[in-house]
Amino acid sequence: MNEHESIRELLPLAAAGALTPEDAEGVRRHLARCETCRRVMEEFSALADSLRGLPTPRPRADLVAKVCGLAELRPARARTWRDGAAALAPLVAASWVMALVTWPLLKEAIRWTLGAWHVLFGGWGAALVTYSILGFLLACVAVFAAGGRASAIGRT
Amino acid sequence: MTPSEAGADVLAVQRGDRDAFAALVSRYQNRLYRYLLRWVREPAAAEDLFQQTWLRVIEHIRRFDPSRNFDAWLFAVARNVAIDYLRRRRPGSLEEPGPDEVPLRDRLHANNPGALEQVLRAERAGLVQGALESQPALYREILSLRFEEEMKLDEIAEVLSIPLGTVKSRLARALERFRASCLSRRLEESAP
Repeated sequence: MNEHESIRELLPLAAAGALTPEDAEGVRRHLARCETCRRVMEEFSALADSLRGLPTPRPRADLVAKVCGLAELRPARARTWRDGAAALAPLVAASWVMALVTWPLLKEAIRWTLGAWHVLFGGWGAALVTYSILGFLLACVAVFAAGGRASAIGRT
Repeated sequence: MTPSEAGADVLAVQRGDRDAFAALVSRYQNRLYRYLLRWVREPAAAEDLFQQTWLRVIEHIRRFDPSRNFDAWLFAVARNVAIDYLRRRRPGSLEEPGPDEVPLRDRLHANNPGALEQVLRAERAGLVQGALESQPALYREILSLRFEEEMKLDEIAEVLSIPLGTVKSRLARALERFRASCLSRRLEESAP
């Protein structure tokens, strides 16, 4: 590849201001004595100016307002879930405590009213676990119901 | 806008400041929308991607390192959103043409130095816009980043996640092809 060809390849980057100082100097020296490359360089420079001068399309104002509103919803939603998670721990603890405290009463009630039905649960231990899980599930339902209500309030 | 001004807004958004988020959207709205429009060429799609981009910004802004360039990060987010969209809608539109894939018709017209300068003086905006839109997506993107967004080459490399050398070679090919396309269009229009 001779000098003319190698310089010709650099002209787009010269117009884009993307040459190293050494290459830019080489292009400048070549253009001073090469009419053909000088005209091509002028075209690339004009193209670059045209691209810079293209009209800027603008988004609709209501779209921008809508996007700005996205930030209004997201933190409210995030706060609700954080609140729900924070509320979950004490409620779970409370449900376990309640299950253990009320268990002797429930056990006596089952013994008096249902006789040996506890065997169907696999024994008293399994019945206690079942009772505790039911308490936990009820606590979860309460937390999510409260979270949904807080979320609805946050959006209004 | 200076980087420090944007940086202050970014820090405020990371702390959950909604007004700062609105200010950030306002600062970047035109540039970001233009960039997305260059990708998809359809205003309705660009509007949808504009919204999706800001949703991703909200989701990931806390993980953004404020010592980095926010412009490059934001445009990289928008780029990923646009690429996801184009992969779904038009598979194959993201392929970069090889160095010799300038259409023959355009190559012939491009060997006519001087004619293009007259073209640009006559009908600059319309012709340039049309020629830009006819380019492959990756070329439209790099021309927009360099000349419309006026990003430095290393910023472009960060947005595109490619080496600096690849940025230069892609930019050169994009300009060559763009020039050939401009000239070809002008000669077609002036033909009887």
